[in-house]
Amino acid sequence: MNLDEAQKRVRWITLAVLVLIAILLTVLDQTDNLDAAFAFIRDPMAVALGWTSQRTDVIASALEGPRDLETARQEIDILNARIDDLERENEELREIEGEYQLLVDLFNRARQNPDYQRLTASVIGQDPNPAVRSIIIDKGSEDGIRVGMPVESARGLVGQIYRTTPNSSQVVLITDSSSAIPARLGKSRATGILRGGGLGGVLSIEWIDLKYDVEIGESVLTSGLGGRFPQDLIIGRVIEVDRREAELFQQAVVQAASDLDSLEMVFVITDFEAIDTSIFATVEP
Amino acid sequence: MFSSALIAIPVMVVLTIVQIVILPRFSFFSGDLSLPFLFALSWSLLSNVEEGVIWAFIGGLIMDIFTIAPVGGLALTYMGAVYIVNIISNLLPRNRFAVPVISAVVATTVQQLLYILYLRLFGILANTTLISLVQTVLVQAVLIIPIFWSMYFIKRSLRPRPVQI
Repeated sequence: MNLDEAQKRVRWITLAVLVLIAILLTVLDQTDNLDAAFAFIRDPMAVALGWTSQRTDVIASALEGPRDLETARQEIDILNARIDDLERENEELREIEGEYQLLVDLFNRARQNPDYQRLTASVIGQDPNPAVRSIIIDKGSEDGIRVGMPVESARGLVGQIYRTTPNSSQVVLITDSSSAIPARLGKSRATGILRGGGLGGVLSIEWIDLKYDVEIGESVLTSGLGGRFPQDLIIGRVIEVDRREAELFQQAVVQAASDLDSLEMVFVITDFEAIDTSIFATVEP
Repeated sequence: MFSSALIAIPVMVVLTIVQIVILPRFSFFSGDLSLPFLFALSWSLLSNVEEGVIWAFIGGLIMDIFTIAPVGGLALTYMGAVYIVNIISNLLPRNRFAVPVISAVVATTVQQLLYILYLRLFGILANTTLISLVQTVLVQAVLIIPIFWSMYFIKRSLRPRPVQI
C-alpha cells in the first residue's frame, strides 16, 4: 500500500467514524438518552454564557456612551472632562431608567393576573441555529422550571419551555415553525391554531371557521384549550386576513405583541389554573 | 491531525459562546452567520480535508448542544458541506481570494439544504426561506474573507511552510 492509498484510507475511516458518531448521537437524542449527559455539559456552559452576556452588556453600554458624546462634541467644541463624566453618568441613569421601566412593565403584567405564579428570568442567549427559533434563559430546573411551562414578556406571550438544565432553560419561541398554540380572537371570538412562520416568516392563525368575520386589528389571545397555556394571555394583533370563500377555513396573519428579537427579561408562568377538561373524562358505566 | 482536534475544542466552544451571546446583539448578523462553520471551512481549505471535517464535527456538535433541533444534525451537515467543498475546491484555480468566497457560497448552500433535508427526516419544518438562505450565503461569503486570512496568518506562524533543501 503506497502513502497516497494509506492517506485515502485514513480520510475515509475518519469520515465514517465521525458520521457514525453523529448518527448515533441523533438516535440517542431522539430516544431521550442524551439529556443527562448533555445537561452535564450545558450547565457549566450556561454559566459561561451568563458571564459573557453580562460583560457584553457592559461593553455595549460603553460603546453607546462615546457615540452620544460624539454628537455632543459636534455641538460644543469645548467639551471637557467634566462634561464627559456627566454624559456618561447620564447614560448610566438612562440605562437604569430603561431597566426600571422594564421592571414596572413586568410588575404591571404580573398584577393583571395575580393568580398565576411567575418567575422572572433574564435572556442570556439565542439559538445559534438559524433554522429554529429559541432563546436561552438563566433559570432552570433548580428554580422550579419544568418543560412545557409558558413564557411571557411584559407585552405578551413569548413561547414555552422546551428543555431545562439545573441552571438554564431553552424556550421555543411562538415564531418557530414547530410552535402550535390554541388561540382565540378578542372581538369575533373565533378560535384557531397559532403557528410560527420561522425566520422571516409570519405568525398566523389557521383553521378559523368561515362563519367568523375576522377584523384587522383584533387582539389575539390564548384560548387555554388543551391546558398547556393559561386563558387570555395576549399574543398579538391581527394584521391581515386571508379569506377565500372556496375554502373551508380562513387564516389570519398576526403581529406578535412582544419584540421577540430583543428580549431581555421574561416571565416563566410556573403555576396557573388550566381550563377544566374533566367533563371530557371517560365516565365509567 | 488529532492535535488539531484538541485545539478545535476550546476554539469552537469560544466561537459558540460568541455566536449565542454576542452576535444576536448585532441585527446584521442575527440568525445569518455561523462562526464555527466558517472557521471549520477556512481550516479545511488551509489544512486538509480530514482536519476540516474534524473541526466541522466538533463545531457542529457544540452548536447542537444549544439548539432545540435534534443533536447531531449540524455536526453531520457541517461535515458533509466541508467534505463536498474540499472536493470541489480541487477543481478551482488556486486563487487565495476567490477560493474562500466560492467555497463559502457552495458550502453554505449545501449545508443549509442538507440541514433542511435532515430536519424533514424528523418531521420538522426548517425556518429557512429562500430570502433567508440567500442572506445567509451572502453574509458568510463576505465574512469568510477576514476569517480565512486571519487563520492563514495564524497557520503560517504556527506551521511554517516546509522548505526542501
